[in-house]
Formats: sequence, structure tokens, C-alpha cells
Amino acid sequence: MVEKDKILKNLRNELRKGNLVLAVLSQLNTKHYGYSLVETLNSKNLKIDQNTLYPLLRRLDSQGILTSTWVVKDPRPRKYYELSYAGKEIYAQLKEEFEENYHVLNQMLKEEN
Amino acid sequence: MKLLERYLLQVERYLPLKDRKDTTLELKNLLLEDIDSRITEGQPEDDAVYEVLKAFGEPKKVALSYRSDDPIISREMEPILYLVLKIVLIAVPFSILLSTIIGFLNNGLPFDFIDFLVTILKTIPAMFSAALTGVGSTFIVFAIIERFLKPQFLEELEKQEIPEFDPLHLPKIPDSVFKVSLVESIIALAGGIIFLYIFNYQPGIIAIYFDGDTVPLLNDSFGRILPMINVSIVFGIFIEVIHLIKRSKTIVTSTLELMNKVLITIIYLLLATYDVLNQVILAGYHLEVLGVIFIIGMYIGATTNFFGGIYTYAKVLISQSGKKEIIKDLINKQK
Repeated sequence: MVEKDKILKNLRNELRKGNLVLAVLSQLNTKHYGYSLVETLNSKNLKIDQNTLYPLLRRLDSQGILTSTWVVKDPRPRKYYELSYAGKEIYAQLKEEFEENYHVLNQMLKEEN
Repeated sequence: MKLLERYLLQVERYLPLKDRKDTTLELKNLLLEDIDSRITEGQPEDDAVYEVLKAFGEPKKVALSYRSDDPIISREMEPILYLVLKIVLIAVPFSILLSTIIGFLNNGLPFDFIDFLVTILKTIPAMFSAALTGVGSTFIVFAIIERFLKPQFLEELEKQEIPEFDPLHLPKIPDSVFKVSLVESIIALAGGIIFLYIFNYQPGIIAIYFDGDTVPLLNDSFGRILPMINVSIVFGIFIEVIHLIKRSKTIVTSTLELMNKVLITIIYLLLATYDVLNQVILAGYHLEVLGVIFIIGMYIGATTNFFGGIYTYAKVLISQSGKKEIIKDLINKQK
């Protein structure tokens, strides 16, 4: 049973991984800093841990999908992220692909029922 | 907020070097956002910090999630690798030292302390190079195991429950008196080796250079103090090597440092009273004043060295007792 739980956990993580990136990119047409993005995603019922999101933002930033700027303002400095020009193009393509996959999958799952 | 600093220090240790400061600063501010929002909701500050850190997770794991590359040695293998490296680092140089000592004692010649010391000093480069080779080979063997074999006990380890992370168990922030300056340690090490070489192999360099002539300044009395100087320098090198490995002073190394300072003070006093300068040569060049300056310098050196050593050690002891108070506080809090 432990094995089954472990397999399920791994598959669920894999399924979630790609979706999370897309969800994060979808919110970064406007500027966000890490904590405000967590709050935004949580308010839209997408539960994401802070320790997952913050490293993800930095990785996307280093890949050039996001641009980041430090804003020094009270009570403390914040690093804001938003989609870069290349990021906007990548997001549009990913979104299109996701919608296509969603329709295909939805159809397949319905047929199974 | 001390707990937050302790947490960030541990995360920073494992972060990639590139953008390390920037990542830590961003993480600090993001964690503070969460802590502040909890405080605004009425949670006591200490509890808010504790819960935010506990939820964020174990520092090493957090730092690794910032890395995009896969490590050559996996997290499961890392503690075993470190253990083997420690054994190799101690056993390999020590076995070379031991074989040198046995070889020296069995050479059939009458025992001479200076010869013995010089033989050991000559072994140091071989010990370093053997240690380096040992470390490199160990790493390669582990990388091969990681790549081609997966020991069964690692699979067992993966199945085990990882103990829950508790921020209260984070290591303390080293007090400033325990901090080791990398540059200072390296300079002290290099200086020690250079002095050892000059005093033992090129004492003639310490001389009066005049009109193309080189007249050695040190007389035979210096040779009688030299073994003590050598012991003190080797002792100093040993302490600096420990500092470089540990990257922090400890109560043990500070005590060793104090002992060495006492020895150095005795050496200064001996140099001042033993008449180690060649007075006839000094008189020949009308440089008697140099002898007087040398003696005064040695007395000043002895005084500053002795009292400086005691002052530094007292600071270490005071901060050590302060540390105990902090640990007591934490234990009480946990209860």
C-alpha cells in the first residue's frame, strides 16, 4: 500500500508541476512579488506552497521568461516579477497547447465514462 | 527574530554561489511578509516566526529547491561521503607522518631533535598532496557508485520517515569572536611557512647588507632558541589549518591559541635576554642602537602578545557563557 501511495503522490506531483507553471505565468501579466502572488493564487483556490513558488519564480527569471526588479519601499524592499517579452510569447503558446490538450483529454475521459 | 537569522544562515550555506545574497535577501523579505501578516492577525511574534519557518521547511531542502542542476552526489549519499572524507583526511596524512617518524627513528643515527623537526616539516607537502589525492579518489568512487550502482541501504533509507523539521534545533549564529577571517588565516599560514623556511634554511638572509657585503646578524645563541620558535610556528600552522577547515573558532582552538601566545611570549623574552644579535658586527658598523631597539621591541612584543592573548581569550569565555544562556532560554521555551 505504501508503494501505491508513493506512486500516486509522484504522479500527482508530475501532473501538478506543469499546471503550476502555467498558473503562475497567467498571473504575471501584472507585476507581483512572491508573497502577493501566493495570496492571489490562494484566493483563486490554487493552493501553492511558498517554498515551491519562490524558487520557481527565480528559475523562470533566470531563464528569461520573467523580468524582475527590486522596489525599495516601506516597510521593506520587494522583488517584483512580470512576464518578459519572450515570456509573453511562451505563455501564449503554452496556453494554446493546454487548451487543446484539455479538450482532447476531456473528450477521452468522458468517453470512458 | 534571531531564529529567522539562524534559519537564513543555514539556507545561505547551501544556496548556489551565483545570486546567493540576492536570493537570501528576497527570501528574508518574503518570510517577513508572512510573519508580519500573522502578527497583524494577533499572533505573538515568536510563535509567528516559528510557524512560518516550520511551514517553509528544512533549510537544506529549501536551498536545494533553488538549484536547477542535479548534484553529482545525492542527498542520501552525502552524509556517508562526508564521513569517508573525514576519515581519509585524517588517516592518509597521519599514516605518512607515522611512517616518516618510524623511518627516522630506525635510521641508525643518534637522535637529533632539529633533524627530526626538519624531517617532519619536509613531510608536510607530501601529507597535503596525499590528502588531496585521497579526497579526489574518494569523490570519484562515490560518483561512480552514484551513477552505476544504487546500494540497497539507500533504498531502505528512502522508505524511512524523515524526522519533522524543528526550527528550534537550528545551529546558533557564530559570535563575532568565533568568526574566522579567511584572508587572515591564509596570511598567517603563509607567513608561518615562510618564517620556518627562513629561520631553518636561510638564516643568513637576516643580515647587514653593506657595500656588497652580507654579514649575518644572528649569532649561535639564536640557534638555541630556534627549536622553540619552530614548535611555536608549527603549532600556529596547526591551529590555522583547523580554523580553515572549521571556518569558526571554538573554545578548544582558542585555548590552544592562548597556549601558543604564552609560548611566543617566552620566546620574545628569551630573544630579548639571550643576546642573539652579533654585537661585534653591530659595533663594527656603529649600529649598537639597533641592538637596543631590538631588545625594546622584543619586550613590547612580549607584553602586547601576552596581554592581547589574555584579552582575546577572556572575550571568548564571556561570549561562551552568553551562548549557554541563549541555549538555556531555548530549552525552557521548548518545555
